[in-house]
Amino acid sequence: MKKFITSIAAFLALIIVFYPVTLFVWGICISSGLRPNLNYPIGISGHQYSRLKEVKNIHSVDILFVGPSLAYRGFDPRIFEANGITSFNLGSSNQTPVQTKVLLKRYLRQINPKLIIYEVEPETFSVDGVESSLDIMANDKNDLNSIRMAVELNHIKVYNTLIYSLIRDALSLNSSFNEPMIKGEDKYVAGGFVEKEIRFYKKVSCPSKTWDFNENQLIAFKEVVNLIKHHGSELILVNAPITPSLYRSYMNSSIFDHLMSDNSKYYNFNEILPLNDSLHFYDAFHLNQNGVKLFDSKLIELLKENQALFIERLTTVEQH
Amino acid sequence: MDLISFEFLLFFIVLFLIYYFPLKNNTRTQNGLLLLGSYFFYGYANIKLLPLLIGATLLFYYLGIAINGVKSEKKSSLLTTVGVLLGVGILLYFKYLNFFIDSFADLLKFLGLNVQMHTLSILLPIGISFFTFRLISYVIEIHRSKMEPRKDFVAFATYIAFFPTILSGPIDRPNTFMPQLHKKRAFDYALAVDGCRQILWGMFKKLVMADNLAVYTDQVWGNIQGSSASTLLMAAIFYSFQLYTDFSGYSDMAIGTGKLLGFRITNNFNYPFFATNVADFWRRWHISLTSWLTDYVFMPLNIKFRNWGNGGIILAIIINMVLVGMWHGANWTFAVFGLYNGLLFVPLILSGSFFKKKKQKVNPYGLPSFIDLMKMAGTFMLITIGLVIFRAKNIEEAMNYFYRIFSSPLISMPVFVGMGRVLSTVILLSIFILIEWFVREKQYAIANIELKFKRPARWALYAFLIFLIGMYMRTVETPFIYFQF
Repeated sequence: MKKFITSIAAFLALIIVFYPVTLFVWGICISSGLRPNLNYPIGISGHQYSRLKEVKNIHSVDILFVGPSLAYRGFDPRIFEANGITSFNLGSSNQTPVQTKVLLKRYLRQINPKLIIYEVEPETFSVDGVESSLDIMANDKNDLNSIRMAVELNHIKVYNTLIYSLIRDALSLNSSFNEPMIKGEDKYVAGGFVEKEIRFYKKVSCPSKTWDFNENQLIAFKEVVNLIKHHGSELILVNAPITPSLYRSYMNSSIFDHLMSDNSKYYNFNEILPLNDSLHFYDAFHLNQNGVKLFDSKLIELLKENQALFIERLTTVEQH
Repeated sequence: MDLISFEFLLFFIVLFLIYYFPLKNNTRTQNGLLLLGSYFFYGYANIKLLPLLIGATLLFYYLGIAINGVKSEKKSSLLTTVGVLLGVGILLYFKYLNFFIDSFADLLKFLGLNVQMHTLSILLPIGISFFTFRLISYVIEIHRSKMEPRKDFVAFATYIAFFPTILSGPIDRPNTFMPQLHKKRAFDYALAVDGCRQILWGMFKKLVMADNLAVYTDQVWGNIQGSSASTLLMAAIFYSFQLYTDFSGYSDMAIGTGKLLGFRITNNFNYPFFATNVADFWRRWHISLTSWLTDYVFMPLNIKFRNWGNGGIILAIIINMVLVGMWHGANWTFAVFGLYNGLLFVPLILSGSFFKKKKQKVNPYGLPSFIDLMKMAGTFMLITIGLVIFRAKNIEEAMNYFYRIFSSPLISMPVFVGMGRVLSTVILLSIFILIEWFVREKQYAIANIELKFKRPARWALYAFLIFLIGMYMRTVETPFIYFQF
């Protein structure tokens, strides 16, 4: 029996070395289609690599935007800048509360924003958050928060990608990686925004949908809210507009609205801002630049109306 | 409790440590622990199912003693018949009653009689097909004087409820398993390592092969109308491999777990897709079930019909195969699956090749001869046709599946959602088939590798298998197919 237990222990030790090494070799040599449980989407979507590179030089802004693609394609720092508000957009593709928590833990103290505008989308509260965690792991340096996120998600794909990312980080394999500022129709704008070439959406019918919220995401969301409160930043939750036809297909939006407004000041722009499917969107979810201008202007107007903490200060400075 | 779960791992580690440390010198208390563990394992899914298992075990325990106690052959036969009827009765009531009620109502409707019949709300106990077959074989073996009844209830109950095999087999016979319960079971290093290896191989089969194939078979079966002929054909082939790797994977894990506890459990598969005819296939597929039915159904029927020549053998085979099919569940698809397979035996019986076992010829590269390869491919396709019926929800669906295959051109590229993953699955499947071919003389693919490879090479192989599981396992939980039977 002693021999058996010793052998098992020795084999486990071997696995601890063998698995990461083989995983790394596999990740380098085998094409992504042939390694289903290892996905390393560096520089693949939403200019995530450029955004996370830029954020390292950002210190003290008025507003920090977080949330999924609706955030980094919806909040244009240039429009806020024109209104005397500094901002940075830390959105990421399909960012769920689990990823928001990681990014805030990593950058909140450094950025030290006065206000955080958190784009909350029902879908990001309904998914497991696996794919969006890979996006962050591949495009940023990993730390203890990445490990915590992997344990929280407890998914083989996340573990594999984490191990692979940590090895790449340790060997500095991404140091020479350069992401082009323009990719297809997307242009990265300093401050974390991604501008899409102007296009117009052709309306299609959307089947009705009822959201089933993921318990882990709700817990992570509470933690995000507490983290922001603890830091002392003001928090505003925003549900960015999607095409009215798609919004109407969501059957339990009111439940989501209640859930959000219980936690902080909350604006659902689908109810506030009347937009047109074809004129203001380039797909069912995302605003085109015409829509972005309307959305951001309305948001700034609401912030001023409601005298958000820093706006108050800003106005006082202007008066002096 | 699933054999591939954190709960099971925890349960097994605790049981294993108690079994070999405080209890290592006491076979009876080891059996007691196994029984408690088995009841916990069985009741974990649904505690309500436990009384039936315990009640049936008690009943058959006393029946076994009674059969042995009576002096006249007539009384012994009568008691054995009562035992068999009880076992079959339990199975019929819990598994088939509603099916018979429905079928009877359909028949009356067909005859123009409109009678209102209601089905009953019956909870189907998991593993019932496996433990009732063990109970039945126990009384038959005592009646045939092949074994003595067990005075030790704990040992008998452990045989019936043995946790690695209660949910999906193999169906061990009492005269091979029960003597092991009375032998001293000290820790055997070689056997335990062999068990770990077999568990690892079983996990690979289930998590990498079966679960990945399930993605495509589920996809196509969920959209038969929208799938092309070549896609349907490919999905049918995939399903044959899925069923094999799923079920044999479970069997490997069950046998491996048994080995860790010092038991040698009956082998359940012997590379069935290398069979060169249907009779050969059924000697290699779900061996513990087919041999059970051969011994207790086919052989007695064959003797009964011996004066009818080939007709008697054909009748016995067809009855036997329909029972093989129906054992899987209460659905006409299983009966037709059995009948279809029974009919496939007819040419073999008429040509006289039914009882002949031919050794396969291999070419200098170790590959099968062209003729054997064609025979294997032909047998595989015949079995695959049967498995389409087996997989279908009802006969109409199976017929629709065949109709769709033959009503449109077959020469086209199969289309699945997620084609990238299909490629890795097909590559893995091809490698898997090749490996199985070259190791077909062994109990499982990586058995006895200590005879050929030194420890570093062996460990590298195990580690690589674990890596492949981590890289290719499906991330959606997919239950074992045979749990439903």
